[in-house]
Amino acid sequence: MHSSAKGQTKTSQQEVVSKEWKLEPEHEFRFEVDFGTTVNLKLISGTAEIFGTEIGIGHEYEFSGRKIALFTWHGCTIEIKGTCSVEYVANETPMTSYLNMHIALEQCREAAKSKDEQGPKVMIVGPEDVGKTSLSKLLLSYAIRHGRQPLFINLDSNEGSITMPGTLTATPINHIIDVEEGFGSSATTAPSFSSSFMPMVFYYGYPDPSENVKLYKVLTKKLADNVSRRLVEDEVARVSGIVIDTGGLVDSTGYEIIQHCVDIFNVNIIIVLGHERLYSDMARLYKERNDVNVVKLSKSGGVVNRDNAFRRQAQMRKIREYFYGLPKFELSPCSTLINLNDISIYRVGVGSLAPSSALPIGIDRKVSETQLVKVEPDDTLLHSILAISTANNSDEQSLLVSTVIGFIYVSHVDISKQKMTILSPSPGRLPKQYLIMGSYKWMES
Amino acid sequence: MANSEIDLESVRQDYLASLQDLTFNSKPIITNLTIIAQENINAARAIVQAIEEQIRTCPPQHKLPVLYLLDSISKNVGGTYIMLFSRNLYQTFMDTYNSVEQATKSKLERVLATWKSGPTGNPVYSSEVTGPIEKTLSKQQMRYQSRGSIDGGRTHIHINPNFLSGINSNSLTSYQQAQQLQQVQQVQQVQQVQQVQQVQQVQQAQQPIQQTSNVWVDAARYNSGTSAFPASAPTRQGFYNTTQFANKPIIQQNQVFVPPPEQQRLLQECQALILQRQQYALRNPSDLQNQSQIVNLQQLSEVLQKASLTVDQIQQVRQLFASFNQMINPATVQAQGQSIISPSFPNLTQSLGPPISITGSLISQPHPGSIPVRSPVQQPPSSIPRPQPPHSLLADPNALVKNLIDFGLLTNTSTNLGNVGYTGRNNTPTPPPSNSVSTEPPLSTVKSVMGLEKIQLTSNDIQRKHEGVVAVIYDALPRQCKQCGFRYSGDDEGKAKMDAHLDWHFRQNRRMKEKSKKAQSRSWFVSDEDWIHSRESDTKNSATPAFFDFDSGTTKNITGGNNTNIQTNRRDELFNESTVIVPLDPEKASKPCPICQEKFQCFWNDTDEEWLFRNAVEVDGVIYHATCHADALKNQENAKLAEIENTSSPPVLGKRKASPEHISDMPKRPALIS
Ligand SMILES: Nc1ncnc2c1ncn2[C@@H]1O[C@H](COP(=O)(O)OP(=O)(O)OP(=O)(O)O)[C@@H](O)[C@H]1O
Ligand SMILES: [Mg+2]
Ligand SMILES: [Zn+2]
Ligand SMILES: [Zn+2]
Repeated sequence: MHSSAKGQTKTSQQEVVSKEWKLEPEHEFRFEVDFGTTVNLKLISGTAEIFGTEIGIGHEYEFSGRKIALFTWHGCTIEIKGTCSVEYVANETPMTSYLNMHIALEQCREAAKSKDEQGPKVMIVGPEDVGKTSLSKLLLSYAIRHGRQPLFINLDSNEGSITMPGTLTATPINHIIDVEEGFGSSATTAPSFSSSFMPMVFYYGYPDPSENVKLYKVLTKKLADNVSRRLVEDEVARVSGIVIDTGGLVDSTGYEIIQHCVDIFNVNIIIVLGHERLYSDMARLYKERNDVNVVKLSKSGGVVNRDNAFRRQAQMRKIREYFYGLPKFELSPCSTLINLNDISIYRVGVGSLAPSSALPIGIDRKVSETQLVKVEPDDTLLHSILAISTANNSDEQSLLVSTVIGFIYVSHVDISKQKMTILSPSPGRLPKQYLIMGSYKWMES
Repeated sequence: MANSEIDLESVRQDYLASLQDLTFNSKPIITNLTIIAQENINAARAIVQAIEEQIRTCPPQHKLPVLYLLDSISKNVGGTYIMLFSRNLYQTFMDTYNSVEQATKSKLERVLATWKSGPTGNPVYSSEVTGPIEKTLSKQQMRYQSRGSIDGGRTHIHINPNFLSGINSNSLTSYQQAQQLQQVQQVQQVQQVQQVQQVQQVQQAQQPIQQTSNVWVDAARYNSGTSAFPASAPTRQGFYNTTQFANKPIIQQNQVFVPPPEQQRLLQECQALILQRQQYALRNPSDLQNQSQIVNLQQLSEVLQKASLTVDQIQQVRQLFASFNQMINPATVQAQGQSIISPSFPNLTQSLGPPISITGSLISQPHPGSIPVRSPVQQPPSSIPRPQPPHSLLADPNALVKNLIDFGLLTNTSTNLGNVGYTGRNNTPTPPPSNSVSTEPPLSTVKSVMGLEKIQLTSNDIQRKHEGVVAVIYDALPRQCKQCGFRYSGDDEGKAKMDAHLDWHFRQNRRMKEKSKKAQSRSWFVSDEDWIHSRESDTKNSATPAFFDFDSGTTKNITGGNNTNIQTNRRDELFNESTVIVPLDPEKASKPCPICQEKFQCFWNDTDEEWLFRNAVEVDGVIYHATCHADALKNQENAKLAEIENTSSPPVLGKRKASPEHISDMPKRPALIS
């Protein structure tokens, strides 16, 4: 925002490489910025968009630990300050088909509006690293240009687009998606420049749906029910429709989950991205259903394979961001000592990651996938991320399918004193007593 | 000239150009100009100069809105701006005050009153600054009463006898002449303004879009600190044309008085002297002689701007200045004034260059000493009908011509304004061939999605190229926010949304500033029941961040006793809309909220034309924060409930302050941050 000032201080401290790139119409500038370095980008002239969000002329945008594509429909000149690990201009992109997809959706929305029907419900499927999340962003960003407010549903628990990894979320997209933040994040007490979103959050707790398929289905079902209830009331969202992002689902569990989600959300457009076999399988599966369209789109040549190290770093950053915010707007979480008997920690089923010490004596590993298991606090809690449930009691009906209001991080456990030190996003006592443990751990660096 | 000076100068000119739009009390424009001021705080000096110049030179009926802008910047940005405005505030305020009719005078008095107790309850301007104004006002009011309302409230330039005693009697007649001359000119100007306004109305009807777009393109330039537009950028024909002003300022040249260059320099000198004196006055507020000298100089400055002096008179004024200069203790000025006294005056005087005469030829040619900018040579083929100039320049011939004269940078000015509506698919890096103009589809041919051919949801149809799809997400949305790049349609709805959006930026920027020192934290997520039922209102669409309130409405999922720290932002937003008119009684107006002891935030509401306290309710003559009051009520209820149910659940409000272990480095009222 105060771009010019920022730029000046930097140049005075050290010589920052500044390069100008001229892009022809319908070209794409792809660049990667490593974690730990920052790159500033400025649009000098023309128009440019990043995953569907148009950027303003003359503003400096800052990126760190990101892989980004800046596309121009009309041609543009940009200035890049800092060092990218990869930077090049590409002239072949699938953007025309992506925009066509948007126009087709927009035509569905107009039709839905005039007939007071449900707008398009899109689900994007494909293997890992084909640009599913990027396409979701693009379709959402284009939709809000027309004043739409679609719901974004993230079923990729590994990704944590809006908030912590391990979550399944539904979020009304009612304003511009922040290009610097990647997706934007949930609300804070601060009026950050890029405003925040209001997600409904379920905690699944594992990166992969196959880890506990039953739980995954139960939670997605509850999520879908809530979404339907909102769509009944919320006319703008109803017309705008929903966009569902998924993780890489190409194995048999993946197919099972895709069909489950198509059913529970009443998906009517399945976009298969960058996977011929998946496309033909889906086309065959839904051949008889004329209320379901299966459309294939090609993967962008720019989409990068992210290795495990990058993914882990991205996850750690997302967790950190939950508590501490981003450099451009920092948050102050609160370190608090709590009594262990004020809280009850549960985990669901017996995932492979469950520490055996967490199991109550006499209960073996064959517990049902959706059974709640109370976790007796001990050292294994250390470094865990725990979700705070909205539930008021621990019976399966409420605790299992409740949304969460936030997360804490366990930074110290003192069994002898029956206390633990936690990092909480907000000051004050914990608002709720039931906590859910998943497989996520974090080291505060 | 050093780079930064060019920058400052171009900021000043850009800002001045934007100020031409502020001809009525327009909240969006004021908001916008305040944001620009905030974002270009490095160029505060230039912006302050531009505002002062505008107030000095614009027609009386335009002065109040500019003063509101000054007020808005002072209250919302503050800091350096306070310091810079302080220097000339007396003159700026009095100049406005003296040139407006009685109803406006009382509005100004109210503004002045709020300066004594600002948004935080602290004075916006110190009493050293507001004191002299008040003194003069009360003197004038007495004089006004004794004289009767012969002139309908408009005071003529008052020649202070002290001042005359300092020079010989010849000059007395000359000033009287000047005064008469000036009165004649005022009449001429009024007539002229009326004509201009008529033209303006016609043009507004023809080109409704221009007015709002102006400002934001400029904002983009300001933000980057340099011109965002390459010299070769093609212009968008039929929309906003770069060269459209090339022939227009001529209309006014015979009708407005323009001081000759010699006099210009005197004027500069005079203003520099005023600055120094005011500087001195800040440190020596009790020096009455100095204050009367300021008044004298200010009057002289006005005369210099409005009437031609003879060679003799000029000579006299020179001598006068020389003696003034001697009186100033150079040590004081240098030691303390360095950071405050603007070094730009000498520069500015130099940059005036050789005397400039106003002729038609000057207007079409860039002044040799001017900053090289896009030259009018790149005019489109003359067969294309020349678009009407936006009204903004016509609105104030005075200021425009003065611009030309003062800075000899006409081309620069016209470039700024020419960029003004740059919104659509322009700036392609490779300039299209000469017939490019016609390749630009007129707005009317941009189809809506339904006007396009239907795209089938099949893999084949999606892959195919379709005509007009890009225009749907660009050209159909010509209003672009230059802060974030977001676009809105060109119709009324788009305008309303854009206004709301700009407002939102403004609030965000201000809140960022207010909150930047306090610790912030992540809010808790909403419960599913609340998520299902919560909505954002349409005008806030793509504008207001989603906040959430656990306490309101559907709290059935969260009824435990522990919901103290859950953020209640949305409720607070609602309470923020609860306002109370700032009491006229300054003592009452400065009282804090009896519950939390914090001062009220006040803001100007231009629909009501009132100063209001935000987040306030008046109960039995006492003003509380709406949130504090509601919490207190709830607190009482909870306490009662707790008694009845015999539970140990503590009251809500009390707990916020009653958990000291966590409060240490947290905001004072965590739940009340919106
Ligand atoms: N056109 C592009 N040019 C450069 N980088 C891109 C492009 N499209 C996407 N990327 C980047 O490639 C990475 C993978 O893209 P994305 O996250 O959209 O894939 P995905 O299919 O959602 O992956 P996953 O299955 O892991 O969720 C991201 O870091 C993204 O920013
Ligand atoms: Mg993804
Ligand atoms: Zn904006
Ligand atoms: Zn209060």
